[in-house]
Amino acid sequence: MDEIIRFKNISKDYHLGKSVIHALKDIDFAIPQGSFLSIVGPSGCGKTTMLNLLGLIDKPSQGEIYFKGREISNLSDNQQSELRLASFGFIFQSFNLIPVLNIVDNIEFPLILAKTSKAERKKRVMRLVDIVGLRDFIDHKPDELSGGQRQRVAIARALVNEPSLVIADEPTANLDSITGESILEVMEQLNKEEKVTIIFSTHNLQVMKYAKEIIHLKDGVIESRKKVSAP
Amino acid sequence: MFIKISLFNIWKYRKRTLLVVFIILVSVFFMCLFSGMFDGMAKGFYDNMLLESGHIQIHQKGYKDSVDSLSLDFLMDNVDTMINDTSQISGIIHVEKTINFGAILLKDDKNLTISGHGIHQDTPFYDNAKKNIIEGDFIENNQTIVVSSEVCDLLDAKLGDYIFVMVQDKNHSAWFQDYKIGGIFKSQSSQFDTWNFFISHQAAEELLDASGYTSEIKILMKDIKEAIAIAKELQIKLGPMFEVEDWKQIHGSLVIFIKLFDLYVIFFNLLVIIVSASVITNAILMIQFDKVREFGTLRAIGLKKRQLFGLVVTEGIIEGLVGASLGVMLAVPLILYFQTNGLNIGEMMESFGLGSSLNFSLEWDSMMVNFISGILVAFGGSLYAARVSSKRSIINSLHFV
Repeated sequence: MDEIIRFKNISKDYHLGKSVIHALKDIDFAIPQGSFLSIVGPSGCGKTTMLNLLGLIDKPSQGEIYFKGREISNLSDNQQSELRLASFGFIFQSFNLIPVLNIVDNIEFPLILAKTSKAERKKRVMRLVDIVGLRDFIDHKPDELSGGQRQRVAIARALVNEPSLVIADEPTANLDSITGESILEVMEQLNKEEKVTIIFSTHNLQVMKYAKEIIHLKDGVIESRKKVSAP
Repeated sequence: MFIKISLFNIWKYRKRTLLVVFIILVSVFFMCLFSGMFDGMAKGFYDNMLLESGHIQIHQKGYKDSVDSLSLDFLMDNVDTMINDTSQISGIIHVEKTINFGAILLKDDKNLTISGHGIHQDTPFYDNAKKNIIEGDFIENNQTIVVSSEVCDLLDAKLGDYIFVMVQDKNHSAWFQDYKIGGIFKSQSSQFDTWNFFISHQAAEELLDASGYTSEIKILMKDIKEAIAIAKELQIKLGPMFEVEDWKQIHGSLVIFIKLFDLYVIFFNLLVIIVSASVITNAILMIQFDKVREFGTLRAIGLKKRQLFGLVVTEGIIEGLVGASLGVMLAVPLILYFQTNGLNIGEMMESFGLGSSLNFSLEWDSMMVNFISGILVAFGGSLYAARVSSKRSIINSLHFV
């Protein structure tokens, strides 16, 4: 299977005053297309840093990142924005929806940035609204929805531009276990049906079980990587 | 969608938005009011002062350097041909001779030092007196005098009373003549009222023993812009025995004052703009600080830096449009009110011939400039906030607390 993303000798350091924190140390790995992969590990192990680097919202201190065989870590800010818009989808722990826009507008926003036609926008948004089960809430603003519903909106927004890769940072952390599982079921379904590569971080064992592959991070290095056999 | 987000944000952060809009409103309001006042002052100068003095004046040589502008040493004789010839020049609509002289008005045991003017009854000049007659008529005949109500009060005189006018005539001999008060005026300028009286030109010639003489020729132009060129042309034509001055030379200090006022307006507007821009910048910055995480999300999903910059500036421009519109809308009725009723500014501006009441003037060009300034202030104020927001890294924005 073709690889979608490759980290080559990636390190990330944070400078806090005079001290330097090595968040990631010489990471080297590749992720095949269509993966449903979980990055796990204790707090502070570098999960979020890794996802931020994967999603081009942070820059590595050292090393190269490749997307579909093309180096992307050296792209300009504008080129990175264009790549994020066209190929990446983001799901954040605290949903990060635009509070002043309703559900439809929130989901539609990336399509407007991508200059998609109005008819196509409507078609794609309504399809995703149906997939995430929010048809009855399309006129609602984010603060009128529950946490689970908000995360479903965030999933729909992440997928609306038909990205190759969806990055989710602790997508269930702010949700109760039942809602969290339902969110992962939606993500799993999308991975299967839409063939979208999904990489998510978690430190929750219940959540990990949904992943087809797990990368264990500890102190900024990959401790292990293993495939999970279907139950 | 950017405008939609901006409008929603404006509503969501309405208290701070109101502050920004209010500052712009107040700034534009005062800029408009100040412009209206200045435009009215300038209009008053051009409409009133120039109609008093004329656009061009001709005097005998030496008048310009004379200490006493009412001196009879500079009388001109046989000027009728000159007046006729000058009237024929294209662009000139009226030429008139005037005798100006110093005098003492006497009634019973009261007297008053004053300037006299021998003029024609149908003069287009001296509207201050002519259009403000409150009793009687403006120069009925050669035996009547027109004085102000203030002069009447000072001399304890009324319409129909006789008052003596004492002068030093052309030959430097003291002389006097009594005249019946035929008209009483009351202008907006107390200084003008206490300093001027009017008789016919012929009466003045007789009083001053200066038959056939005059002290000044006033010329009114169709277009004020032509006055300077015509004055130069006349000076060449009349030769060195006469002094020809255009309105800028006649009112040299006032013209400088008006020009200085132009600078004051610019300075005042700049001050208003700087103060309001700094407050607006802070207010907009505070609003944008509340949205840093939102901006981080937008950037993460593909919004470019310049698009984020545009989003913040769009909000500023919308606030500017609303604030500036309201500022103009509130200022215009007030300017129109003061345009009709005038603003009483006391005797402060009387030395400039503007009267104690200042009539504003509504000039749409000035209103447009102020309106655009208001939008530019908001635009400028939002630029810094937009720069700060767009420069912040995505990761910093997403983790901003």
